[in-house]
Amino acid sequence: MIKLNRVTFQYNGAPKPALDDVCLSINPGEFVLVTGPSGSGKSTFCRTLNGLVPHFHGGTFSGKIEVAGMDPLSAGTGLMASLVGMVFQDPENQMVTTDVEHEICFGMENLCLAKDLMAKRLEETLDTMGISHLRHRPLNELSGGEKQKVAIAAILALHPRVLVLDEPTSELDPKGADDVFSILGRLNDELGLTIIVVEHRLERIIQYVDRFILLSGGRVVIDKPVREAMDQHVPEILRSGIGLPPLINLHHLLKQKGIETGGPPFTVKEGRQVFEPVLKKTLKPVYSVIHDDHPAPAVEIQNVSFAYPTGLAALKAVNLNIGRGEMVVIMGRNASGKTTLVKHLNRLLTPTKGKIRILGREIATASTAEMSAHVGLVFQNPQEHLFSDSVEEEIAFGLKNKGVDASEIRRIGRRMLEKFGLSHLAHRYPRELSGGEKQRLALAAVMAGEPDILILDEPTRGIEDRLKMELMRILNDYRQQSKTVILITHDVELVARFGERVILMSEGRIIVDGDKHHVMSGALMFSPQINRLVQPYEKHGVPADILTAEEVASAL
Amino acid sequence: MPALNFSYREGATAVHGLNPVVKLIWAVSIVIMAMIIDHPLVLGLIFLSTVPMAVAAGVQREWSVFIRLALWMGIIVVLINALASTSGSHLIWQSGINLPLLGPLNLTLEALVYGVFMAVRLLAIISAFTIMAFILHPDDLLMVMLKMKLPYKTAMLTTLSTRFVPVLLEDAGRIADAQKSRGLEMDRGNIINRIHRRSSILLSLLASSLERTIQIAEAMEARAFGSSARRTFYHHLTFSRLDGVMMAGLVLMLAASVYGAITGLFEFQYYPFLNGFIMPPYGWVLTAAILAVLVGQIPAARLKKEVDFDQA
Repeated sequence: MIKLNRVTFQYNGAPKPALDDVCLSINPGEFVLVTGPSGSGKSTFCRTLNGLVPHFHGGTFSGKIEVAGMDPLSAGTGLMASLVGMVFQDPENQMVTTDVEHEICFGMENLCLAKDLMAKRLEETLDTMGISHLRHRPLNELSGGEKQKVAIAAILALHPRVLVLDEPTSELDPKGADDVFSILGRLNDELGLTIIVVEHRLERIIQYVDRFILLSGGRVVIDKPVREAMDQHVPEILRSGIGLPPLINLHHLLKQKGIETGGPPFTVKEGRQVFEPVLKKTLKPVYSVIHDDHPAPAVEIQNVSFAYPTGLAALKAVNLNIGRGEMVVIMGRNASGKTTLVKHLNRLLTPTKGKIRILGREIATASTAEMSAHVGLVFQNPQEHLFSDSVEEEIAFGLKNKGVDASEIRRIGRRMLEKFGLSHLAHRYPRELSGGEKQRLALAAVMAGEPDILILDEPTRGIEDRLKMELMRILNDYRQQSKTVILITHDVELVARFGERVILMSEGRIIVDGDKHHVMSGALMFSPQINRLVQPYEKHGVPADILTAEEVASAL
Repeated sequence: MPALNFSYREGATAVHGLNPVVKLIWAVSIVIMAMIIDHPLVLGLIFLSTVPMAVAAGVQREWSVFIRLALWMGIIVVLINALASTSGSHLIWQSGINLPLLGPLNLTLEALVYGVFMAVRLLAIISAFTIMAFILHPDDLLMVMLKMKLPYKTAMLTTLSTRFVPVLLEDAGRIADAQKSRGLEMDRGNIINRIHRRSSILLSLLASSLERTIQIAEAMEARAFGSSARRTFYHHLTFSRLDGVMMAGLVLMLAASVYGAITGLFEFQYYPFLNGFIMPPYGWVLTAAILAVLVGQIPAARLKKEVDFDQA
């Protein structure tokens, strides 16, 4: 189906090739996972398959490529569109019309299909994707997961031979991501569609995958059947900075302890079969209970409600106290009020009802700019934090507003650049940095002001495991200086490993607030994989609030 | 301040169900009439006829934001005209100041009335366009443009850019939030400083919308956009007999008002003294007919909804 022979591609003006001597061959009906750290050439690889590289993104191309019997190089993207369907990261930026039906028809119309054929395929794809109830809905009212399903439907309607998805769930919450992957699994299983997915969070997708390809620095490092890769190539995967799914991590932890189980499990059910004898022996809980000294209050939220001008109630009588030196994680579905809540802490929003005190002082009359001395807020999309001409100036921005003098700004700037590993980029234009670098810069720019309360909204979205670990280390250091850290995230596995106090929000209310072992156990969507694994073994005395592979391994 | 969001509002009102061509002709007729009719009273009535339309479409709240803005602009027009124009004959107020080039700074009745007339003209045009933007679905607009034989790529670009107006506004809001959170005082200091700060949002916005544009172009390319010179269409504009009657009514109304304007029926003299308030009787008959057709869109829309429902 797909053959790449010694493909090398270098973007115009780039210092080194994005793809470097890539040889690959993919068979019809395969489900292929392409992974790798950011900048490894994953997206470029996808774009060679339909000719976007080199036709849309200019550069130097060498080598031979064949997709479904065609050469994308000579055929061009337009012709390849009917063979290779491509779904991108951000659903917002691939929608060109305003409602579901129009969106699905757009590609078919471009291919000049007859009207009755379009009608048939429209029905077909709506049913295949399970979105026929959305057919007349305007796109801007759909959730991220729904939008991404519409994007896939719009591609499926073209009856492509290959479906290529470039990090299709990085903008979605766990439920949305699960939905999308299970549909891909079904398309591959029942229709025999060849599917290629680029992704660096493996745990939700690995069960559907046949073939595992790891890219690094534009080269193919691993290209193996997925079982083999997960069993025998773990060191290479970890070295590239990609994290393992917790079940597979457990498998290897046990292996290191000399406990042989069956092959690495991909689903929770498989995990139970494989680990059953071990799990029944897991006995004592090992984690320390959260220390219960009462720290001085940093954030006091009293009975706060908020409604948008449209009348939509986003917060309903929220009460919350957070102490100095605490690290608090806020979780919850999209639109459950998480971001709305934290925007109240630096006066971007004013409560309709209720009171907020920061560091013991009422903030009702302060401006957001005044609040910035105490509360630092890092937004979801680092792009929105980057408005200066160089990395150096970006870090100086907040300090200048604060009136810090120039020599001090230079001193702090140098320290932050060093701390975040950005020194070599000091004079670069911030928007040219890679995703991970932008994320670090946005954080550095906010942390330069040393706010007493640091809030991060979805900081780990789209970044690989190694960078997540790095981020958590920085945050942990920061709170050791008795600073408060508030983290909004969907990343269940990250919280299971690094969280302490976890707050779960839904429909503008705080549903649960407590230690992670209490909040994250015994659920489905907000429980980590390992917890779902051990839940049924409670009757054998296995602690039902175990969250991570490390905890299981240490409890043996 | 409520956001100035100039984009389609989803709604299930009868007015939303009007044929897109009817919506377009309705708005364009009002704009044309506002340009050619000089009689202040007739123009005022035409503006007022748009109010029930906004209410019937359920967009009065969003609409009033724009009307308030237009009112402010109108007040400025009245002030400038009143002070700058020296052609009137009835003096209301004399400042005694002599301005270079403009002559004595006086306020005359005629200049005041003319200023008000200009403001009403502005209100009528803004009102009609705002309502149309709220009730005309961008995809429908695309189809209307195609019916008018506009090239597909041009039409597509137009609707695509209207779709991204709300997205851009949201982007701008988020960038402003991020800057405020990093200690930038947006609303303090003198006006020059404020403008300077606001302009830094624009630069960021420009950069991020360029990135958006590239991604969208890529996604369109990957779905065969422009791969062949022609294309097919799944959705078509359909016209019922009632739509035909409504369009004919609007076109007839427009033709009559153009005829009236050419023959001097709606003529009005502002300078040097006001003259023309008294129209011949058939002038008033024509005015009544114009208003009847404009406001008549609402009952006609309700009728259409019923007819469509019966046929479905």
